Amino acid sequence: MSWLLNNGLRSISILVVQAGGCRGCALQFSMGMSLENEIKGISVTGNPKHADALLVTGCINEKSREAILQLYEQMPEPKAVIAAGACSCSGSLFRTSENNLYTTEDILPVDAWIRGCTPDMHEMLEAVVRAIGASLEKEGSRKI
Amino acid sequence: MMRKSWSEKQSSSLAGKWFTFKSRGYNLLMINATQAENKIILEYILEKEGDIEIVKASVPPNYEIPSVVEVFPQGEQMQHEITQRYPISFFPRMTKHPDSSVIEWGPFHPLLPEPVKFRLGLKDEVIESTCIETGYNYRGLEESCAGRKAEEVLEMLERTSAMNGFCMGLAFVHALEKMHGVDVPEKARWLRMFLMEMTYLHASLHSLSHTAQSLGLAACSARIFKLIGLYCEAAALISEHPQFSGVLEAGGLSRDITIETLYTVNAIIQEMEEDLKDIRDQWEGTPSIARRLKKNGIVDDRSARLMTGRAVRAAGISKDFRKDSVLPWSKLSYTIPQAAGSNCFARVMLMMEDALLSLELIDQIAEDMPHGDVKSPCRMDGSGEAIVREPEAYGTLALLVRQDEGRLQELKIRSAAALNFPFLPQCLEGTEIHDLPLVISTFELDLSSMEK
Repeated sequence: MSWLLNNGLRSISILVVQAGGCRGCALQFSMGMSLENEIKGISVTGNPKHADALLVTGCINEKSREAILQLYEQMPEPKAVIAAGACSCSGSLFRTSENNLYTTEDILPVDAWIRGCTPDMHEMLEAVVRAIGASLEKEGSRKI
Repeated sequence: MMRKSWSEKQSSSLAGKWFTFKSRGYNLLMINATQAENKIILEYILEKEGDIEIVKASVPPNYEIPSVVEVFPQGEQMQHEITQRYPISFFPRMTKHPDSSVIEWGPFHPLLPEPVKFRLGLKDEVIESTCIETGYNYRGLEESCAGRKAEEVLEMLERTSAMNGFCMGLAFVHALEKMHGVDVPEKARWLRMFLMEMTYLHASLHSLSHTAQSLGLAACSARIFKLIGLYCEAAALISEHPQFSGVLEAGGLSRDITIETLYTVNAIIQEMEEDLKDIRDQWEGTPSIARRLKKNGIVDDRSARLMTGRAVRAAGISKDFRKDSVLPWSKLSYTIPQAAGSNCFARVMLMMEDALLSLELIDQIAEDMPHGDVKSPCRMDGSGEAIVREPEAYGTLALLVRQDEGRLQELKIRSAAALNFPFLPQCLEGTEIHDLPLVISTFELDLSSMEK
């Protein structure tokens, strides 16, 4: 928990967005959360106004892009964005699709990337911590 | 663009053909659409015990034609997908316009495993009508696959859905093998069956964890996640990817799995049995859980017969979808579980029983695994067409594959979710809004394989 105290935080709330895809990354994250939750002090929220970080998994199409941007707008500052998985980071195998797919970086300022198909759940939790640190630095280490 | 209606004569001729097939016991397997020379060609692929019949309709763009939903309600989602891609519409539309208060739920929520938006018409806290908006998962997979080689398509299909990727890949490989007359070695067939059972187990566990979350049983959900962790530990011995991507190949498997590995995987997997039985007994024996599950998500008998997967068996209909496959499940000894009541409780108990059945079958397959090669030489550079129906984690999957000189010309996928999805709105009528995630979780909608 030392990293939490160093950042002046009590806990981190994550808004997970499974943008569209196989949902393997979202399931890995859920599993990590379920098995490691108490150690890390990270919780999942469904309310964007409670969220410290937005974790995006899967390919983003035009329809999900609009919904994600709406959610991001509603999140309070400072806020972090994490791109999780190959689809979210680079479009993976679907990048040549005709459906105008976006990577997370195409639509939002990303603070941490978790590459791989499917990424390791421990790496995902570590990336959340990294992203929160980066967003706090950006905001001049504002205390929450 | 102005919409024009098909003539009354053409419309009644098409509907008449559907009714004829319906009365002869045929069911709608898939609707395929293609556009050629300023015409949209619709193929209604109907199936009865392996016998395939196709009803064709050629329609000019911007025309309205009769909806198949009146005759085959399970075709609603397939029609919806066609209207998204081609300038054509169907009448009458089956949407309801609620006159009560309307709220929106989704497309993203922790209790929604995949993005989908619900527009709910409510009277107090009871759902009166539901309109569901999909499209958030759409990746254009079917179009992207056109013109590609079989190996590239297989790689994409395996990554379509975390639950069903392996089943979709296997169905595609079976279609190619059927098209080119490839004889797969016996050991490869048994190993494929082993991996399919692992996939079913994985899907059942995830369905259970989703249901536990929807019931508000956080500790129980964490316990099920520990079982999923055990599954991942076992799966990692076979492949670095938990969905076994890269293991399948036309003609067999890309690598052999030794009998020692199978025994180790089996030993790890069998550790779940006690926990699963304990969770089953807990849920069954806790009146508040059982009562809540029993009063929700009731599917009427007529609808259940048109659905696929656990929804059918939960209505007391004995149907073994494994028997649709060319894999040698008939050589194993098992009884397919079924339940009564056609409600959430029946479906959840079937998830438990199916997970236990998968454990039993994994054990049997590991014990009886034959020896020999796992791959036979084959060439996939020919041309042809194949329609296959294969079991998947949530029911049956239908695949239409057309290949031309080694390149895929057309691929059409109809997953189990596409069949079951149209029945969700009617099932939600009369449900309290707090129980909405619970009903959705027991429907086990794999939207990533439905929307592709």
